[in-house]
Parts: sequence; C-alpha cells; structure tokens
Amino acid sequence: MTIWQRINQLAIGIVMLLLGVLLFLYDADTYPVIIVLYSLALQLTGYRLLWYYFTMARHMVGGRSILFRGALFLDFGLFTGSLLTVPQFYVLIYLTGTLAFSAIVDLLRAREARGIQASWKLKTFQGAVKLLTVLICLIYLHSEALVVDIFSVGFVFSALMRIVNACRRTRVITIS
Amino acid sequence: MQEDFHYYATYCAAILAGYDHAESLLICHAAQLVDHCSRTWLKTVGGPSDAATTQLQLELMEARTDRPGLIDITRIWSSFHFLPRDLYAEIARGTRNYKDRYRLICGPNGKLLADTVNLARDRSPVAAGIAMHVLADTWAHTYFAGTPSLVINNTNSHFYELFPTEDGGFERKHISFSHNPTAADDPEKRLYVGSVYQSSEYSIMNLGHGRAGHLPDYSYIRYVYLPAWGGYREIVKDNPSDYLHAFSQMVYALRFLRGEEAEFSTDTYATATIAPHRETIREIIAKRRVDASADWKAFGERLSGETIPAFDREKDCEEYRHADPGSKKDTFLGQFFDAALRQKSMVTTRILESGNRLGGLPPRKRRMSS
Repeated sequence: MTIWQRINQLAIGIVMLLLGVLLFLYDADTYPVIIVLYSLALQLTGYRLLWYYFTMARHMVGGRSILFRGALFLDFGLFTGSLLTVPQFYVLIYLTGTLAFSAIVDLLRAREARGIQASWKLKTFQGAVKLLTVLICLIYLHSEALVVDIFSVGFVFSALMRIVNACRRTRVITIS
Repeated sequence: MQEDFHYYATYCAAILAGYDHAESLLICHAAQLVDHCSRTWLKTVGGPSDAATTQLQLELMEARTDRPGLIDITRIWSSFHFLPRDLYAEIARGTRNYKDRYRLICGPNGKLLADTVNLARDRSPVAAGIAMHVLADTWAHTYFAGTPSLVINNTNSHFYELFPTEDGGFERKHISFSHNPTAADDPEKRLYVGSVYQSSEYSIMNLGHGRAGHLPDYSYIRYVYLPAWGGYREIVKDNPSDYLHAFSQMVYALRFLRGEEAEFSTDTYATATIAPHRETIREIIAKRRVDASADWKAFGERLSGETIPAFDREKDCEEYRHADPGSKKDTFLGQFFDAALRQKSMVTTRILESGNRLGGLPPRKRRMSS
C-alpha cells in the first residue's frame, strides 16, 4: 500500500468511525445520513468500475468481472438510496444483511489468502466479529434501539480495522 | 534476471566477445549494479538521484502513484528493465490510455534496443555493462511493461509448466503461486511467490512481472499463461531458448561495442562465437534451480583462467566519495551514473516522441507549463 492509499484508507476509516459514534449517540436521526453516504459510496464505486471497464479493462483477461462488480455496486447503491423512504425496521434488516454479506466475503477472502500463504488471520478475525455482530442483531431484532447500538458498535469495529490495515506494513514482491 | 545472468553470464559473454578479464569485470559489475542503484543507495554514495536505475521494495511501497509518480516509475523501469519493443505498435482496440500502456510492453529486438546498444558505442565498458543489462532483460521480461498497469501486467491462475516428452511434445503441469513474500520459490513443487491481485490499475503490485513472480527470472523454465493483454490467447514463454538468445546477442553486441562488428543489427546473434561452448551454456541454462551463479562462475573462470570475485555493490563507493569534483566523472561510479542518465534520457525522449504520455509531458507542453 502506498502512502497515498494509506491516507485514503485512514480518511475513510475516520469518517466511518465518526458515523459509528453518531449512530450510537443519536440513533434514528443518523439514519438518513448513513443511507445517503452508503448509497453514494456504492454508486461512485459502481460508476468508477464501469468507467474503468469501458475505457481500459474491456480487452483484459478477466476484465468482465470488473463489469459485473461495477454493475452490482451500482445496483446496490441505487437500491440503498431508495431505502430513505421505507420504515427503519426494514433499513435495519437491510444493513444487517449487508454486514452479513461483508462478513462472508471477509471469511472467504481469508480462506483464499490462507491457501496462497498470504496474510489471513486479521481478515478471519474481522469476518468472525462481523458475523457475531449480525447474530446479535438478529437475536435482538425486536428491540430496534438495541440493534442500532449493536450495529453502531460493528460499524466502529469496521472503521478501526480499516485504520489498523492502513497502518500495517505491507510487503511487495520485488522484481529485477 | 538475477545476479547469475547479469553478473556471471555477462562476464562470460564479455570474455567471449574479446574483452580481457579486467574489462569484463567492469562490464559485469556495471550490469549487476543496475539492480542495486536505487535512490536510497545513491544518497549514501552521494550520486545524482536522477541516475537511479531501480527502486527498492521500500521505495516502491512509498512511491506515489499519481501522474508524476507514475512517470518517475515508468522512466526507471522502462529504461533499464522493461525496454519497450515497439512504441508505435498497431493495436485496433482500446482507448488512448490503453494504447499508451500496451506500447510499453517489453520485448527483444526492438528499435529501442538498437538505440541502447548504439548509445554505449565508443564509451566506457561501464556503459556497455548497462546496455547488456537492458538487452538481457528484454528477453527475460518479454510481455510485461515497466509501468504499473493491471490491464497489461495482470495474470490469472492459468499457468502451466511445460515438460518435454519422449514423443517430442510437452506435458503440462499446473504452477501455483503463493503470496507470502517471506516464502521461497519451490521449483520441485512448482510453487512460486507472486504479488497479490490488486484491482487498482496503478497499484505497485501491477508493475512489471510481479504477478508472475520470478518465473521470468529463471532460465530453466518453459511455461504457458494468459497475459492480461493477450485476448485469451495462451503465450508460451520458453526461457531456455530466450536465455540462449540473450547470451548470444550479448556476445554479438559486445563484439560490436569493441569495434569488431561494423553495425549493430537486431535479431543477429554471435552463433559462431559461442558454437564451441553451446552445449555447456545450454546445460547451465536448462539446469533446474533458482540460482545458476556457481555454474556460470565456473564457466567464466574456465574461459578466462582468472578468478571472478563476488559482486560487491560497495566496491567503488569510496573512490567516488573521495574523488575531486572535477574527476568524479572518471571514476567507475561517475561513468556508471553518466551512462545511466544517458540511457534514461534516451528512452524517455523516445517515449515522449512517440506521443505516449506515460513518459511525461511532451516537450511543447513542458515549455508552456514552465
């Protein structure tokens, strides 16, 4: 990771941390902000990937996965934006679902990383904690306020992990 | 390529081309120094930072990948390790950004190779050494570009080593990659270390042959894979053949630099000169191990009857540090820095002239912005 990528990751981590704290302190009032930011982030990623595919990766071996990822991110982004008008209970279910999805991705990535002798322990830990957060959210789904608090703790955890990752030393394979 | 080829094999090539032991040592020392002359090292020596011919792992990790940073990386790696084969390569597909990257793909026998060898003509053996590093790498690093680019340098898991069979064909065996930088390559298990997939176009992990690990650096291996730019067509990389060509072309180029050939033509080799040693060279190249230094060293010592000292990066530093400002240019390192700057300037100019923006701003725009 270059110094600029570290700064980028740190900035995202700090914004997530602040949002997590705001969600914990102000509960429901923070919903629209989170939904809008989440939707924007997903849409921007989608547009960026699609732009990259059509301008650069169209002829690349394996480039089609970038197209699919771009379409998926854009789709999720638009869907998330549409949740502004639905009852908060459903928003919570949706956010819990995305957290579960993220946990599964982390665990699968950790499994893949272990197979190729790359760093996997931190990713496994991250996936396991996210999964635990999802389970607790599901158990207390009837208590909306409690779920918001649990979710905000999970959000803060994700932010901290991002900051830790940005500060970790990474190694590259040198070529000569 | 590694020390075995850039240092010991280059020494052998210089001896076969007619250089004496001392000159051959200068040539191979300069050729190997190209892999060590980073900005960090230049600071300790007191050399010009622009003369950097490589970037250390730490430097790469901290390197900026904005436009000026990418230009700096491209100038270093394209000039010394991934000399572009054809800066005007015709390609019907892709945007201008894509074509800029595609045209930096390294390969042997390009026009830039002739320019590189001609640039070293009538100069010191040190300049010849740098040219030999660049020449040898055009064979090893074929199909990769000296700029961070996912769409050019990425590879997938489709890697198969080719083993000759009795019926004249080849048997395929899958090659696996580990992404643990502390692990060692294991040729017996066909397990090699490569960089992790990074989806960012400009990630340092996508520079050169990082994704294919050190496979291009090993002379014994033949393999097929799918380069990102290849339109799903398998590419066969026959390192034993390529390394033999590289060695033979080095001998020919060094003969030209000594004045024994009237001109340097691409795709020409010193086949007759190496003929008596062809089997020995083939054996060294084909032997299955990650470092062939010992065999090349023994071969070189048989050729010259002299002992080849181990490469020592610090050997000439004191001489450069203590030289008067006016006589620094006459020291080994002074000559090395001068030749490196000339090479980098020549390649950068050619890239700029071709209209490729990865080498920097075109001269007209530079004047306007200054």
